[in-house]
Amino acid sequence: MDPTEDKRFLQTILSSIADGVFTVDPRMRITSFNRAAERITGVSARRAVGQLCSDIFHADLCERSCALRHTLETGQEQIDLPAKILTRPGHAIPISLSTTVLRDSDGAFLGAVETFRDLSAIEQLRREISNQYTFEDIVGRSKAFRKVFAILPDVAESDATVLIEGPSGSGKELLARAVHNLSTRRKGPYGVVNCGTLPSELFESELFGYKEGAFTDAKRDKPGRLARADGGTIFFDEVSDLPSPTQVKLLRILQEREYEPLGAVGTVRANVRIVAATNRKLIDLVSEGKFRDDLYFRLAVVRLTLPSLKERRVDIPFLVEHFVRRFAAKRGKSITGVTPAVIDALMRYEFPGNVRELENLIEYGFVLCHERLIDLVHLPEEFQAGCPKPPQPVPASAGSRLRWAEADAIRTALGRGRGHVERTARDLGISRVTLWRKMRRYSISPDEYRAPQSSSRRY
Amino acid sequence: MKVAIPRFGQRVAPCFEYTATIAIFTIRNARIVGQTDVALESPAPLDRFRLLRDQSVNVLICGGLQEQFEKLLEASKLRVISWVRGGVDEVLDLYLQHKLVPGSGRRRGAAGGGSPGRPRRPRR
Repeated sequence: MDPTEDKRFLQTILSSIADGVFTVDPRMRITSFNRAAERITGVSARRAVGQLCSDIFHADLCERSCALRHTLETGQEQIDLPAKILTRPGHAIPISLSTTVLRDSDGAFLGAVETFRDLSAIEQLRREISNQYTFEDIVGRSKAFRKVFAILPDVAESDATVLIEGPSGSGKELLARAVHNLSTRRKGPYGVVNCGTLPSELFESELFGYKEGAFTDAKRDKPGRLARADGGTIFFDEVSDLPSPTQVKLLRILQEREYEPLGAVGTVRANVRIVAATNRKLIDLVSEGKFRDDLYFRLAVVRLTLPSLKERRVDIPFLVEHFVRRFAAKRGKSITGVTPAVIDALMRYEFPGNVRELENLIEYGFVLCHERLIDLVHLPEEFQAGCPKPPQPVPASAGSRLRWAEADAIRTALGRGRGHVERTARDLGISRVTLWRKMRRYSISPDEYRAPQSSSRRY
Repeated sequence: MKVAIPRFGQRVAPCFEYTATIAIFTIRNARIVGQTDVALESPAPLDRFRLLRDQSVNVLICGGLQEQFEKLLEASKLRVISWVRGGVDEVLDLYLQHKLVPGSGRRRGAAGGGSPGRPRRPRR
């Protein structure tokens, strides 16, 4: 085999493998970059070659223990090191990497080669199992969400009791977990009490635990949920469902920070942070006499309000992208997104089930879709039936269809760009002036795609 | 005004979340009048956020940055210019001349620099 053929043969092999492979010269500049490396990092070989590898990978290892540098300096191989790289626009991808020295056929030193494997799917499964969600999982760019983001660091740091209000499926538990995972208690346990499913007779024994002999079947000591969440956070979901007698017991914990396990002779200090959530306006229940006002004020030291999805439609494209990435990793499918028609339909849908319903729709699409993009046909019939039809039908002639598709692309991009003209123009690869001209031609107003005014309460 | 640049040696650190040192420049009348280096010990994003807040930083110029963390910083009224690469001095100089292209660290108008629009003037 002559050298040219040899090189081509090698390139074919490198292009066909699923692992990312790239080489660097002794000055850490990238000299080659295979197709899988392009796919995982989202950077083309043309852009990557010639750059410092740290400027392409943005890895956690770059500063503290760069594997390539170690290999270049010592000649030693590095095998299966865990690392994280950042890809645009800021997604962390877990990888495992190996490095080795690169020499030519005469043994002359050329640089080093690194191979790396995308572990997103495994990481996703691990996160689902361990529920290790952080604010990275809260997707939202709407004004209402920006407000929550702005106070989240202070809320997490404060150790104050938090009340989260919002409709079902709006992400209350995710926010509660984020508050815990961002707080100083993050290394402690996180417990969940679903107030709607816990019978009031069992509330005390479940929450406070009991001592051996406290009642007939108490064969040995059982720590309650408060004890199990010691040093961490306890989340009371659907707190508005607590019956009145139980509300008093919860109030006592909040007031005294102490409780007495059943059959115990002394009190136990409750070293937990309390986060509660409800899908109802708790203050309304207080005024109706269905919820104790003293408990309400103890719970609502900090109040966070999550809007419904239809109040923050601008977040839909970002949520779709988030769920597609998540399910692609979880199910091992190479689906990369949804068609503009799906985005258009989602933007018009009412979403009575909020974000959870959107998540379910995308998951449904992942079951039926065997292509790169989820289309309307891959979504449930009920969704298609419940979705208002677009105002303009697709025209029959080819020229009109082209114009319709162009207008559709502009609407979709405006949705992604929250009505920001400059950003949308960049997204579409056209100038701002051209975009304005086309919007005028198709009677599209960017105002329709701007973030709605928040309807959330003041915190 | 204070401008923070996470650095790795003399270059902008590849990733803010994992950097160990952050250079904080005090700017007055488009001139550097002070500089301190702060060690970032905790990898927790919130600790990094608090450090920037405690140091009264107005602008963060950095390399890679997680999207959600960027949103968190921006929600707190901190201006973020992310995905910048190059030497710290060179990048700061470009910023002071309003020539820093977000996402590259290149000079506005340079070949291949893209057209990201008019730069915002730094807050005074």
